[in-house]
This record gives sequence, C-alpha cells and structure tokens, in this order.
Amino acid sequence: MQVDEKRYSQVIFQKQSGELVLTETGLQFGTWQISWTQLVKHQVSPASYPKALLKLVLQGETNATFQLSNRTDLEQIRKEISIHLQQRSKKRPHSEVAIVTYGAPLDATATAVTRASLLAAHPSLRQQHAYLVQETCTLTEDEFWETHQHLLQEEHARISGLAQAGRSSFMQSRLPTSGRITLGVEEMRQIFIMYPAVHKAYEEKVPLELSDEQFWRKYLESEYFHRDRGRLGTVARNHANGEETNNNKNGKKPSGPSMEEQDARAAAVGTDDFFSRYAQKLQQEQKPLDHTKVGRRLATGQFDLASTLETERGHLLQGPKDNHPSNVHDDEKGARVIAKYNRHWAMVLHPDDAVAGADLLNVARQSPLQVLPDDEDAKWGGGVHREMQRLVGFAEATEEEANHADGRKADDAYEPLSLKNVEAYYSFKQSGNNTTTETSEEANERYKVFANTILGNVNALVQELVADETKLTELPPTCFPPPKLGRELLSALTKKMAADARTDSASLAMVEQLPSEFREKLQIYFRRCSELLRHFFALRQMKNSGEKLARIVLGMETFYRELDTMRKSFPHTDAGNMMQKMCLPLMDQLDWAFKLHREGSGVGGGGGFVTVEEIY
Amino acid sequence: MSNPLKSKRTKNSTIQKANRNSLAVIVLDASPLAWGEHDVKRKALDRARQAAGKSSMGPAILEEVLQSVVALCNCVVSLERSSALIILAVANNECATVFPRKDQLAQWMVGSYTPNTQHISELLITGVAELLTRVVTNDKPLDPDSRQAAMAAAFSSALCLLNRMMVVARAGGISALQQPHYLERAEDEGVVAMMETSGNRNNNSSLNANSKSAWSPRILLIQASEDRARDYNAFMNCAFAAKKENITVDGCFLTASTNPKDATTSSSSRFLEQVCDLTGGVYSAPSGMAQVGGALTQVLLSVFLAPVPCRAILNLPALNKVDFRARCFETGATVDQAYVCNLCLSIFRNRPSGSYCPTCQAKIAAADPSRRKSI
Repeated sequence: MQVDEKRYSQVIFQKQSGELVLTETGLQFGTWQISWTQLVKHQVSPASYPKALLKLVLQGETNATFQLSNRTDLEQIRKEISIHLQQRSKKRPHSEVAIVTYGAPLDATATAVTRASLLAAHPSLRQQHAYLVQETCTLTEDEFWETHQHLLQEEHARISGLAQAGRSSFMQSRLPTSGRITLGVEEMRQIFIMYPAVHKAYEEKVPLELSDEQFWRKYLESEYFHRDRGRLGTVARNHANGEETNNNKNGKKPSGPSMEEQDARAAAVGTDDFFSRYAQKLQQEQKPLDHTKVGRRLATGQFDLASTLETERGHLLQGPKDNHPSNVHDDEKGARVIAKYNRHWAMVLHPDDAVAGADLLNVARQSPLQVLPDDEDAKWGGGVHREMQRLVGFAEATEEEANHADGRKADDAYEPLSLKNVEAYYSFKQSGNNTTTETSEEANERYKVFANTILGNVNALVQELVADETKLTELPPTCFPPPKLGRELLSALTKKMAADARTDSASLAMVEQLPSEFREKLQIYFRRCSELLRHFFALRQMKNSGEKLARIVLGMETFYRELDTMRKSFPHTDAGNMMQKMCLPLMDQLDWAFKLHREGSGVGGGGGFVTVEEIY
Repeated sequence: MSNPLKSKRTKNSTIQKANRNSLAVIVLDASPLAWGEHDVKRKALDRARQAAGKSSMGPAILEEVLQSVVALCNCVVSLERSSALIILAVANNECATVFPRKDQLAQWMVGSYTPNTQHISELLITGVAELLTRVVTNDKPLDPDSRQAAMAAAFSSALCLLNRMMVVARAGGISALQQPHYLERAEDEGVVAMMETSGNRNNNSSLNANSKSAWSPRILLIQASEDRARDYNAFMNCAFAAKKENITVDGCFLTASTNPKDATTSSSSRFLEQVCDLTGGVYSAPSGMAQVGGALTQVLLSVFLAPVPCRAILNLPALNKVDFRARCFETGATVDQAYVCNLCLSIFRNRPSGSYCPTCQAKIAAADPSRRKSI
C-alpha cells in the first residue's frame, strides 16, 4: 500500500520543535534523517501517559524519541510506520526475526543444510537417495528433493526453531498452558488480532509500566488466557490454595475441593483480571454499528433473530446494554459468575456482530408501508404464504386430508413411499431401446411360466401340511443328508474352515521363520519399487518427459533384474519357495508398468493406481 | 502356548456377551424367477445324471430350501430358551414378515412368546405361499431388474425390526402387566412387546435397563437371485447402518450354477460379500452337492447356527477374496476407474452428460485439460 508523504507539525525532538515528515524513503525532522531500513521497531507511550511520545529503535541500539502534539497524530504515525515496516519485511529475503513462511523457497545454504540434516535423520531416505541419485543416477539431486519438498520445509522450520511454536491458525489450541511457551512474532500478532483487549493493554503498559517479557508472562498466567481453555490460571489456583490453607489453619473442616474449585472458578471468571477490564473498556468505547449497511436493512415487521440483545433486551436510546453489569465493589461469587456468563454470551453472540439491524428507534419512525422492494411478506397484511395456508388449513381439515403420510390428494407433491415404488429410491436410467422389446416379451413369458410353476409347487406343500398335520411337527427325512454324504460334507467343511482359520496366525508364524536379512531386504526393495513407480506414473502424465521417463524405466529394469536374480538364488525349500513368492508382487507391479510403457498408453485418469490381479 | 491371561479374558468377555439373548432375523429370497430357473436347471440336470446313474448335483429348489430353513429355525430357537426369531420373505418388489404373524398374537397371550417349531413350519410355508400368490397375481408389468428379489428392501425391513426390538430393550422392556394399549399398538399390534416381555423374563433386569444391547442381533440373508445393481447404494447404506448398530449380517448365496466356469450365472453375490465383510458376518455360497439331499441343512447348521458371541472361538468360513470395486451409480457396472463428484462422492463410469451431478445436482465444471495437475 502506497503511503504518501505525511507531515506532522509541532513535533518536539531533542528539545527542538519542528515538523516530522514521513516519506517513502524514511523519516525526516529538520536536518535529521533516517531511512526505513535503519528502523528496527517503534513504540508509543501508553494512553494514560500525559505526553504523546513516539520512540524509534534504530539499528545499533540507538533510540530517537519524538513528542507529538496529540494522541490522534501519534496513533496515525504509528500505523503508518507499521505499514512501512511491513512493506520492508515483505521485500527482505530474510526477516530479522526469522519468520519462516511455509512454501517459500530456501536459499542455497539453507537448502544444503536442510538436506544434509534430513539425510542424517532418516536412514530410509538416505538409502533411497544413495540408490537413486548416487549409485544408479536415475534421478538428479533436484528431482529427488522435488518430491520431498514438504520434508525440506518442515526440517528447515525445525532447524530455524519455529516448528514447535505452532502456526497462526492453530495457535489458540496449540499454545500449552504449562511448561515452556515460545511466543514468536507471528503468535503475538495473532493474539493481538484475536484479543483486541490484549493489544490495547500492550500498547498502554509496554514499555513504560511493564517490559515485553513481563507483559507476556502476565498474560499467560492470567485468567483471561485460561478461561477459554476451561482451566484455572495461576492466580485462581493460588487463590484456591490460599483458601484451603486458611481453612486448615483455622481448624475448619475444608469444605471439599469442589467448593474451593467453585470459588476459584468464580475468580477465574476474570472480572479481577486487568485484561478483562481492558476488554470491557474496549466494548464501551466502540461506536455503535451503522445499521444502514447494505443487506442488513429490515423492514417493519421483520425480525433479525441474530440481534438477540436488541430485540429482547434492547434499549431504545442507549443501544446494547448489559442488564447485569459486573459489580466491581462486590466480591460476591454470584456477581462474578453472572459476569462470566455475560462475557461468554458477549463473546459468542457479540453485540457488534449479532446486531445486524433493528435499531428500534429508526424502525419505529418508518411507515409500516415502507418495505424493501419486492418484499411482499413484510407488507402490512402480507406474509400469507401458500405453504402456510396449507398448513394452517389442516386445523380444519378432515381426517383424510390431515393424513400427512399420504399427503393431500389434491396435491401431487407427495408420493407415498412403498416397496411398490422402489424406483423412487434410485436414479437408475432405464434403457428404452427398441431392440430389447422382443427379449422382454420372451422374458415376461418365461417369468410367468416360472412363477406359476413355483406357486404351484409351494401350494402343493401347503396342501400337504393341511392334509397331514403331523408334518408340522416332524421334519421330513429328506431334510437331512444321508450318513455318507453328511460325513463327506462335514469333512469338507471342517477342512475349509480350518484352512480359513489359519490365515492370519499361520502367515505370521511363517513370516517369523524367514531370515531377518531377507525381510529387511524386502522392505528396502519395496520402498525402492514404490519410489520408482511413483516417478514413473508421474512422468507419464507430463509432456516433454521422454528422457527422464527413459531413465526411470531403465532404473526399473535394473531393479527388476536385481530382484529376479535374488529370487532365483533362493534355495528350493519351503522357506525358499515362500521367499520367492513374496518377491512376486513387486515384480508384477513392475511388469504392469513395463506393459503400460510398451503400449505407450498415456491416457487414463488412474495415474499410479495399478491393479495387480484381475478379479473376476 | 497361548497366553492364559488372554484366553481367560477372551473367555470372560465371551461369556459376558453370551448372556445376551439371540435375536435372529432370517431373510429368505422367494423370487419366482430365480427359483423357477433353479427348478428348470435341476430337472434338466437330474434327468441327465439319472440316465448316467449318478445322483443329483443341484441346484437346490425352493421346497428343499424351505425344509432346510425350517430346520435351521428350529435349531435357532432350540439353542436358547429366550431367543427371538423373525423370518422375512421377499419376492420381486414385495417383502413380508412371515413369522411371527400378528393374527396369532392371541394364542401367545395365553402363555408366552416361545417360538414353536410347529408354528414356524406352518407360518413359513403358508407365508411364502401367500407372498408368491400376491406377487404372481400382480398384473403390473415388471422390468427385468424388478423380477429379482428386492433384498435391499428386505434388509432394510429387517434392520427396522431389529431396531424396534433394541430400542424397547434399551428402554427397559415393556411389562405385560402394564396397560393393555402397550400390547395393542397399531404398528405391530404388540408383537414386539410380547417378544420383548417374554424374552427378558429370565434375564437380569440390569441387562434390560442399562445394557445397550440386551439382544445379540444378527441377520441371515438367503439369496438366490442375482444382485440388483440399482439397489447397490441402498444395500450398502443398510450395511453401514447394521455396522453402526453392531448387527452381524451373514450371507448365504444359493447359486443356480453347477459349473464354476459358467459365465451366464453368478456363482457369488458381491453385495453379500461386501456386507458380510463389513459387518463381520459369515458368507457362504454352497454349490453343487452342498445344496441338495439335505446337505444344505447341514451347511446352514454348521455355518450359520452359531450365535455371534461364540463365533470368536469357532472356526468358520472366512472371506478371503472380496470384490471391493465400486459400482457406477448410474449404470451399476463395476468400475476400476471412475469419475467422482467432489460434493456427494457419487461414482460414475462416464462423465455425466449434463452439467449437473445426477445425485446431488451439483454443477459440474467443464473439463479443462490445461488445468490438469501432474502427480
């Protein structure tokens, strides 16, 4: 954002009065000039301070303090300097506070360091790198790291020391409530955005009353910080502990942790917290919303359900008002609890956001006939809707018409759902080809014949039951198999079930028997195969990848031969046969890739999904 | 050597779960078309085999299946005194509860609801006959798919029945000493109340009041028809609902094919495979001699009789190979690669012709090859 030259008159610097000018290159006061690059940070005096002071911290640990004529100028100059500093930090490749933006390209040194660190920390990655880049030269260094860009970024962030501090959007949940907390610039900025009260407190207290560290320590220990996380802060905890100690000293029976905790939690409501006081001040200072914003106009008779305070507890003249103000002189638990809920309500349904309209005074001034254009419902006597009429009409409806399940007969909006209307459940396209007409007639005939046959058979069964009631109690002899068939079937079933039951445990037992060297080798081969296939399928989709693709295919062929050689070297024992079989899936995957490469088919959206075996 | 502690724990949990009453629903496919094909094939094959002096190799016919199901039902109710059994029959687009029947409630009021083997046999056969009569006499023309059994609808009905029982169980059951209107509710005319009351008479009240699953529910789907492709979504939705409610679904597919290489007839039901795999049930597709001569009874009893709590310690047939490929929502064809709507995740074999997703009506952007990202 371009900031034009700004002049501030009646500024006092080093006991001299003059004009402070902000230009694109820097600040100027008389003969004294300073460029933006020399400026490290700026601070302003608290609002409670009688003078409006601006302190500029320069490189080389020098300071320059200006006294402005009024607070308004001070705020304005502060914002402008902030904008300049922001612009400058965007241009610089490395911020002095080492803000790491994920996704930003790293310089050569950082890249080399990060790569070395990653390789040292991950043996599997190191092996892959050694095989693909150094031994077989299948991939270049850049190509290899291109696929592991996210690992590079994370490692760089970790090296830079910012990985644990959390990213801005998850900061609130990620900041620990105990132990060591690291607050970076980004975190502080997010806290200021989310909690304007904290920002205001910072501006007023730092650096004159509290140092940076003191301020943040106070914030992190405060109830204001802990309340949203449902925990007790240090103060409340101490309060609880103090009460318990007092009770014990006085010989009173402690009223139990629940009462103390209630007490502490009531204190945790935060009315005693100075951040909460700033929050309250902020609310009072904020100007009422402009109720005439576009899209928020409400005509007479309309209600905005979000404007809870206005419509339920609104005050015509004074606007949003808390009907249960906190009584700062009264340390009663009840008042604090009420204040807590009021604050929670305010945070959840913030009056600034909840009040979307309905300034009752303005609404009352308007004529009832004044409605938004094309809004028939809001008109006097309007709001009569066909649906409402239909629903209201049920009050005087007959039993038939009131049957919502069947719907009104005059209204075709409802179709009774039954198994007869199964077509309503799906969006199946019926093929209406003429070529199937003959087949469907034959099918109909066939169906009729079958249906009549089956019906006849079942009716015969029914007749038998009716004729001979003993058949109801006794199962027919044909119900069970003859002994020989029964034994054979039992044997077959038992064998099948036993074979099925051996699947998991037997496999595990078999795998345990294999030599560990083979298992490790298989893992390595699996990873290599996956990497190669990943590159293969990625390059197939890209244009101008002929040379790279050829190198990858060559790498795959080499790998395939190596695997085949290993497979053939296994002895012809049970374990050897099993090891041979275990190599097959990898080789099948590569076979399929070779087949695709030979066919030259680069189409298809599968991209990497290979079916090893066809399932019929 | 097994870990004694672990086996003890397993045993304890098995005993605990075994305290729950068995609540079984058997869904029997009675579609005339499927059984008619079975009948014709059986007659043709039997004639040929008899001429060669060999015994029948199937496939099973409806009468044999009914006998086997009766035997299975008798065994299910005999296994536990306080078990409950419901039998549904499905044919074409019709589904009916054949056991227990509302009109027989009076005689149960005298004693208690204890499934009577005589009743089961009678009601099953007469119920199936009644259903088939209704279906056959229906003159409404049916498309080819509708001539197969609406197993998804029957599955859904079974789930509703089970849910009804389990809801009552969670609420503590309904005492027969309560107001008569509990026993005369319009929807089921008190059948559920009767079953619930009797079933819980012998159990601890704590089970009724507090246990989410005083019943151990399961469903057995006996299917002879081909899968209805258009019902895939509904079928899978029912499967997910069953999984959520811890209802075990078993599947028995009675194929008409006697030759595994016969491509005209399915040898397995992919829907049933997926459902059984999802819910942890048992799937079996007996074929050939395993369907005839009473062998089907043995298969049903060996594989499907065991209550759910006991299955952990039994060796039962496992599903080793399940076809998990998705199906096109439009045509029902199995797909390996497909177009997926990014809003409703509907799968389509071909890119939808209109500019809207057929399922959720979301707008589909025109294909732009230049925007295609490389992997």
